[in-house]
Order: sequence, then structure tokens, then C-alpha cells
Amino acid sequence: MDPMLESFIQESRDNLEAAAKCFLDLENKPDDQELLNDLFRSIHTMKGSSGLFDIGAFTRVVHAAEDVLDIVREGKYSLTSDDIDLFLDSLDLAGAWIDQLESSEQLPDDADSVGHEIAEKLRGLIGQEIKKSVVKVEDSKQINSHAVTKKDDFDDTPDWITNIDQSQLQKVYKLCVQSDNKIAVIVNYRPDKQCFFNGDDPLLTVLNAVGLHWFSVEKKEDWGELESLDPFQCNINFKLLIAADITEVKQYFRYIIEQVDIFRIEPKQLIRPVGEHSTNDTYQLFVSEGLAALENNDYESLKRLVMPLHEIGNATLFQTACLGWIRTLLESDVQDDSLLKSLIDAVRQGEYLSPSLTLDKPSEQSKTMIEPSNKLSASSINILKTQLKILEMPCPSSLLVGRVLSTQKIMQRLFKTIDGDKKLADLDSVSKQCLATSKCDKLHDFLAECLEQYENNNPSEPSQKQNDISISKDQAKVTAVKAEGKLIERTQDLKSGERSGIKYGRRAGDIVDEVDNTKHQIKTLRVDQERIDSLMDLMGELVVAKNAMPYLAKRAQEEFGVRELAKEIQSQYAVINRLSEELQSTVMGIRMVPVSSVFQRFPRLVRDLSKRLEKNIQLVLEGEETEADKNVIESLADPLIHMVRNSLDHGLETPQERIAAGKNEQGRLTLKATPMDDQVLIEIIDDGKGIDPNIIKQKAYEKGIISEIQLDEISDQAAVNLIFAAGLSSKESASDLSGRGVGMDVVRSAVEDAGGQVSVTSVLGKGTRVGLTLPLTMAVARVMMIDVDQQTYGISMENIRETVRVSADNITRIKHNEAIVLRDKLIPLLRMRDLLGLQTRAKQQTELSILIVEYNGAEIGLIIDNFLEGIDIIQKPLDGVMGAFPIYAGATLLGDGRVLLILNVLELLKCR
Amino acid sequence: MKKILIVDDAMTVRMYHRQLMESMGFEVTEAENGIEALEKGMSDTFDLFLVDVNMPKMDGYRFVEEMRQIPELQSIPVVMVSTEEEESDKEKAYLAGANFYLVKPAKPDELKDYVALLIGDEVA
Repeated sequence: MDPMLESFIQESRDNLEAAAKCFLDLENKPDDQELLNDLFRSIHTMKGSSGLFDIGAFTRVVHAAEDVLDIVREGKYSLTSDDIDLFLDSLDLAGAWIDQLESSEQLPDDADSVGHEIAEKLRGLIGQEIKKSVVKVEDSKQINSHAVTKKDDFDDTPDWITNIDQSQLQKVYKLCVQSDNKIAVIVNYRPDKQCFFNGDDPLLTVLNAVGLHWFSVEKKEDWGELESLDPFQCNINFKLLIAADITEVKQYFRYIIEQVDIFRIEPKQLIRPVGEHSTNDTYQLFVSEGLAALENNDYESLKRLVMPLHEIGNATLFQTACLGWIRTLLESDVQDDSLLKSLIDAVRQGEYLSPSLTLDKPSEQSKTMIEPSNKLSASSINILKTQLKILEMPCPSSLLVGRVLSTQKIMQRLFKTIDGDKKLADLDSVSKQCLATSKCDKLHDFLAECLEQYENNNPSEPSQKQNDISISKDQAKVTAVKAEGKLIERTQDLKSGERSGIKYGRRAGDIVDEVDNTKHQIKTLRVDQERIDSLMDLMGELVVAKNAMPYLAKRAQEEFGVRELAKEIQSQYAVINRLSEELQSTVMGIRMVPVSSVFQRFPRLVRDLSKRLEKNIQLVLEGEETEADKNVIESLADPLIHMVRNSLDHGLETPQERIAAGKNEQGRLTLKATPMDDQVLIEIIDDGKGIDPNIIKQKAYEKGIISEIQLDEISDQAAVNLIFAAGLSSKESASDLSGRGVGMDVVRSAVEDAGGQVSVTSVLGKGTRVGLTLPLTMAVARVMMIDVDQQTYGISMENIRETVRVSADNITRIKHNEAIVLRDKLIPLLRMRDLLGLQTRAKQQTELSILIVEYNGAEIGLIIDNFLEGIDIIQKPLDGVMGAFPIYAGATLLGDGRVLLILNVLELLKCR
Repeated sequence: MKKILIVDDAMTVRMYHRQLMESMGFEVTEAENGIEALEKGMSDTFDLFLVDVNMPKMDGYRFVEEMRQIPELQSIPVVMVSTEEEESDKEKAYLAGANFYLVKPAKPDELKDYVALLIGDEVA
């Protein structure tokens, strides 16, 4: 994709997000001027940038929004809640378009009509018509097609046409006269010096040009010594003669349009015989006979006269060239007597005067040929006139020096291109006078004088220009008077700025102070996420590779008996371990994003939903600055939305219900993030009606999730936990908000996939709290290695509450189940061998190793053979046959090359 | 090589201007707002400033007004580039100290043409 478009997409997303946030804040603080300014700027920036691309509909919408906001900013209109809805919808639309732009590089087909509609609605807010924006959009389209902005009629012929081979000119003439859509075009192609680096091949471009008949190559500038020649720079220009359809020519050169001058030439302008004049009498004889034949319109005999003379004539002779042209004219279908006559006259005089010019003085002829560079001097004059205007404006003394010096510099530069150093000395002394007297008038008069001079010398400008200047002078005076009033206002603005302590610049020292103030801002760098991901992967590999060193030390000592070496390896390992840990936390720090990036979409969601549900809900965000890995945060987004919707839909009551229940009319939904060691706790707390365990129990029984016995036995907390069971939805008719069929079980699996856990607590009538515990990062996990039946497995540290060793005597049996009492709490026990379906029985041990894990809010003890150390690993998902077993979360390589299977304890407990 | 400072808060516009300016063989430095432009302007010698109007922290008008009073910067020609095309906006720019005004987005040919002249590029 075009990097500019890519940048536009990225920038627009940021701006759209910023704008949406401003709108939401604006709802609470409608008169906050700063907020309005920020908002305006976001929209304004988008408008400005969008003009660079051919996306008129987008520009139209943001432009309409900008116009409305401008009025709002001036305090002439205030936005209602409905207006903000409309704006937010527009932003959504623009956002969708940006997505589309990213995928297909163009707007959807209906963009024009949809955009028009929404722009009209926006403008409707301030009762403005849409016309203005349409004009602008068309304007911006022109830029993209940057077509040659030349008039449709013919251009003047450049002088160098005489360098072109006569026979080629004649061929082109014939082609153009005989064909309706072909036109003679000459092109002056000045390849960019650096063009090779852009992948341009100028010669190829020239050779492939449509309808090319002739071209010449010339030096851009003197090449100098061979040693100093830079072969990587294009040092040549081309001149081309083409006979083709003008639109085709433009199309062909469209990528390098700024490097070419295209001239359309009227066919008869091609007639430019050149060569040496011969005094041979034969030609004089031909002239009299030829004129006589022409008089009688006897083209056939004229042709017979021309043919032999032309064929035997020396090609370098002027007469031969003329005869060639006469022959060409005669051979083409259209006959033009005046042209023929001029040519026959030319044979006699040795100089060709085209019919239209024969009335003028012949010596003037060459002067009317206009070089393309004259276009430039029009720009120069425009710039100089602007400087003149500036010098006429009133000027506060503080700005005078700057104004004189900067206008002087521009004049210097321009005068130099126009007539070298002639005026520079004068200019210098004039501006010195100005500085001495603190007045601009001298410089102004000097410039006016120079301008007059240039314009008089410029043959392309008709004398009418003279009047233009005087008119513009008058205009300038009027504007100057107007501006004076404004200036007073501005200086007052400035003064009030100083009072309030806002003061930038003046002297260099001051600026540095100011700059220091802005230095503490965090500079950001945009990096492709893939790069960071690969950095993360590499770092993970390093962590694993590092784990090999202790094994190495062990082998050095045990197998090779070199204790000293083992020790050194150990100490080196400590260093590498420390460095890799630092590296790990730094890389992880790069990927850390604040939770706010997910939270910030909720104000809008809650606002829209509560409006639709006719509930009055206040959203409170806490701990937004808490950071976690980008992937974790992203995996959090969907579950969070689901739960917030649940709270809004099922949890929080309508104002009437709340009042009836004796609660505050306004419901409160809190999203809270709290950092906890290497985990983040996200809580969704509402003060709604809570979850009724009895309804859940009943429902679960109806759906066959729990048995009749469980229905009686189950605790309230366990019942509430049932909402995570698949296929349970507590509301009779699923609303369109919470969706159908997918409930909290989806939330749970999403969170567990990210290595986290969900818990829910609820008090009937008081509210519900859902807590998500997520790891800070998903890339590197810490696992504990355990032994079961001589096989080593890993279990994620996040699942493990604690590890205990208890005497076998302490195990109590309740019916067929084992349990222990730990700190006055009864904890059911399970044997890992049974869970894994291993047939072997463990040796009778006097002391048992037990892992205490949390499952659905309850603690369960797992009996294993032995604990081993905890290690950092990169968990790779299993694929193939093994991938089908959910009880394995993945596998990893150990330092000594063994593969460690990581158990998914939660899955394991599910299938007990 | 001629040096030009592009001041604009929109990354895309900066990129667009940079491409054009670099294609003309100028050395480009970018700044996101007036304050940054003053800072960068002081750290190097530039031949021309290409300045946006609407920017956070310090807008284009204010920037020109300030730089016209700083001896090291005051003589550098300034081209203002803005989406506003009203005559009054142009005047405001000239009054603040700009030397030329172009309506954004400026056509490539137009921009190149004027910049070449204002920067005193020999090739023009």
C-alpha cells in the first residue's frame, strides 16, 4: 500500500478515537472550550489530510462536521445529546470507511450517497447548505489527477522545433492532417536527476512513448571532467516529437508529469524549413512556374514540378526543405493555397514566413516564440506582488525587522534567477535604510519599481497587466485599513497571553526554557507489532536456551568431574539469567499497554445501550492506567463487552425498579483494573439486582446441567458459579443485547485461553461482581514441574494456590472420597494418577505431596509424586493428534532437550 | 543542499510535503507544532519554512510571529499552508509574518514551483 495512505489510515484512526472521546466528554461539559478546540483540531486534521486522496465522500463528511464544530466553537450553537448521537454515527461511518480503505484502498460504492446524506444532516444542524463542500471536494479531486493544466487550444511552438529532422516533421504533419484524433505533440522531458533511484528508466520511457517519431538527447548541464561525472545521476534531457491523441500522451506521462512540458502543436506550425540557402537559378525558375500553376489550382503540374527538384536536391539545402514541405502539403488531402504560396515564396527569398505572420514585421517572429520558462516568471511575479502587499500592511515594530529581512531574502533569490546580480547591491542598501528608519516604505517602492520593469519586459503579459497592478494596489490599501483594526486586536491578544504566563520565544534563551517544559513529554515511536512479536519470540528462545546452562554445569561436575568449570558455568549463568530477566521485562514493557485502551470504548457503549434500554446508568472507570501485555488486553476486549452488556441487560434495573427497591435512581457500573504482582485483576461491579441462586439452580436443573440430588445440595455460591456452565441463560427471552445462546461460558473459555480465571460473587438485591484474573503477559509462562509416575509434567503457576506436604495419616476419608483439613478448612483430594488415567499404583508414601489448586472458586488438593523446581518457559501449542487433548495446554523444551508436557489443570478437573 | 523545515501536526500531510520536497532535492526536517519548530529551527540553518496554520500547542500564526522576532530565524522566508481559502485568512498569515500562502492541499506542480522560487533554487 502507498505509505502515505497507510499513514493516513493510522492517523485517522487516532483522530477518530480522540474525537469520539471528546464528544463523550462534551456531553458532561458542553462549554469546555479546550475540549471543543481539541475536537475541532482532530476533525480539521482529518479533513486536511483526506484532501490528498481521492476520497471525496470522506472529505465531505469531515468537512461538514468541521463547519458545524466551528460554529459551536464560536458559541453560536450548542450541541444537544441527539446532535452528539449524529456526530458519533458520522465518526462510526468514517471509521468503517477507513477500515474499507485499509482492505481495498477505496471507499465502498455507496460512499458518495451515504456521505452526502450524513453531511447534509450535519449541516442541517446549523442550517447550512451543502453546496460549499461539494465545490471543495471537486477541487481536491483535481489535485489527484494532476493533469496538465493547459488550455485546450494549441500552444506556441518552441524554437527548438527547427532541430527536428525535416522528413519526420513532414511525416507527422501528414498524419495529423489526415487523422481526426491525432495531434502533433512535442515534449520536453527533463528527467529528475535522482530518477534512477525511483526506478525510472528515462530512455525506455522515451522509446516506448506512444506515437514517437523523433527524439533528441542533450546534456542537462556541462558534464565536466570524466572523473567527476556521477553515473548515478541522470544528466540528460530529451526532446520528443509525437503524433498521437493528446489524452494518450498525458496518460503515458502521468507518473512523471512534473518532469515534462507538453506542447500541442497546430500542424501548420510544424512547417519550418531550415537549411543553407542556395543561389542556384533552377529554383528561381521553379518559383515562377510554381506560382503560375498554383494560380490555376493545377496541383498536379505543381507536383510534377516539385518532385524531380526535391529528389535531386541536396538535403541540407533550405530550398530542398521547402520543396519537401510543398510535396507533403500536396500529398496530404487538404490543400491550403496560402501555405503553398508562402513556401514557394520561401524558395525564392530563402526565408519562410508562415501566412499568418507575413503581415507582421518579419523580425518580430522569433520573439513570439515563448519558452516554457515563462510560466515560471508568472509565479515569480505572483510571489513578488505578494511581498509588495505584505510591505504595504501595517507592521508592529517588533515584527518589522523580520518582515524586511524575509522579504528582502525572497527578492534576492528571485532577482537572481531573473537577471543575476544586477539589482542585489541596490536591494541591500535599500533594506539597510529600511532597518535604520524602521519603515518598510523604501523597500516597497523599490520592489514596485522592479516589478514594473519586469512586467514591461515580459512579452507574454499584455499591457492590460499595468491596470491590474494599480487595482491591486487600491485593494491592498483597503485591506490594509481593515487589517489595522485587526492588528490592534491581535496585539491585545498577545498581551493577555503574556499576562497569563504563556510566552514563547522572544530570545533564544527564552525558547530553550519553554522547550524544556515540553521535553518531559513522552516521545512515542510507532513500530510494527510483528517486529515486537518477533523480538518477544527471540527473547523467549533466549530464556529457554539459558535454562540449558544449569544442566551443563551439572554434567560438567557429574560426568566430567570438573568442579571448577561447573562453578564458573553456574556463576556465568547467574549473570546471563539476570540480563535475560532484565531483557524480558524491558521487551515486555514495550508491549505493555494501559487497560484504558479497552476501557475507553465503554463510555460510548454504556451510553448507547442505557439509552436504548431506558436505564439511567453511570459508568465509573478505575485503574485505567494499569498495564498489561497487548495480546492480553486484546483478548480481554470481547469478554468485557459481553459482561458489561450482561450487567446492563440483566443486572441493572430501570429507574422505576430501582426507586421501588429503595435504591438510588441512577445505577452504577464500575470497571476496575488492579495490578497484582504478575497478574491483573479486572472487576466488573454493578449495584443491580444480583443473581438469584434459586433461579439459576432451577434453570440448571431444567437444562440437565445438575442432577436432582445436586439441586438440593448445591450451595448458593456454587449455584451462582453455574452461570459459567455451557447453555445456561437466565433471562427467558434473550434480548438482542446479550445475544443468544452464548453466555458466560464463552467468557470463561476466552479468559482461560488467555491464561486467566473468572470468578463471580453476587448478593441478591445488592449487585454482582465479576472478577477476571489475567496474566500480565502470555508469552512467557512460569510453570512448576511435578513428577507423576516417573514422568515430569508442568503445571502453570497461576493455577497453583500453594503446595503442601502432609503425612499420610492426616488424610480423612469421607465415603469414597479423600480429603484433608488444612487450616480448619476441608479440602477434597484427588489423585493425579487417577485423573491422568494411569493404571499403576503409587508406592505407599508416608508423606504426600499435594498441590492446592483453585477450581470454580473452590480449593481442591491434587496428590502427586513429587514437586520439582519452577521454570520460565515458552509454551508451544500442541498440534496433530495431541492437539485434540484439551488436558494438555501445550509443551515446551527443557534445557536438557527433553519435552515437557504442560497440563491444563482446569480441564483435567472438569473430566473427573 | 537547501534545507526546508516542514511544520504540520498531520503526519500524512508532512509525508506528502516531504515527498515533494525531497523529489526536488531538498533536505527536509519535520516538526509537529510551533514549539517544536522553534526548537528545530534553532538547531540548524534552514532556507525555508513550510508551515501549517492549525496545530496544537502553538499554531502557525503564533509561530511566525515569534520567529520573526528571533534574530537567528527572522529572515527565513515562510510559506503558510492551510485549508482555509478566505482572503481574510491569507491576510492574517501575512500580518503575522508569512511571506506566501498556499491553500492545502496544494497541487504538486504549484507547490514545487513556488517553493523552488522562494528557496532560490538555481534549477528553477
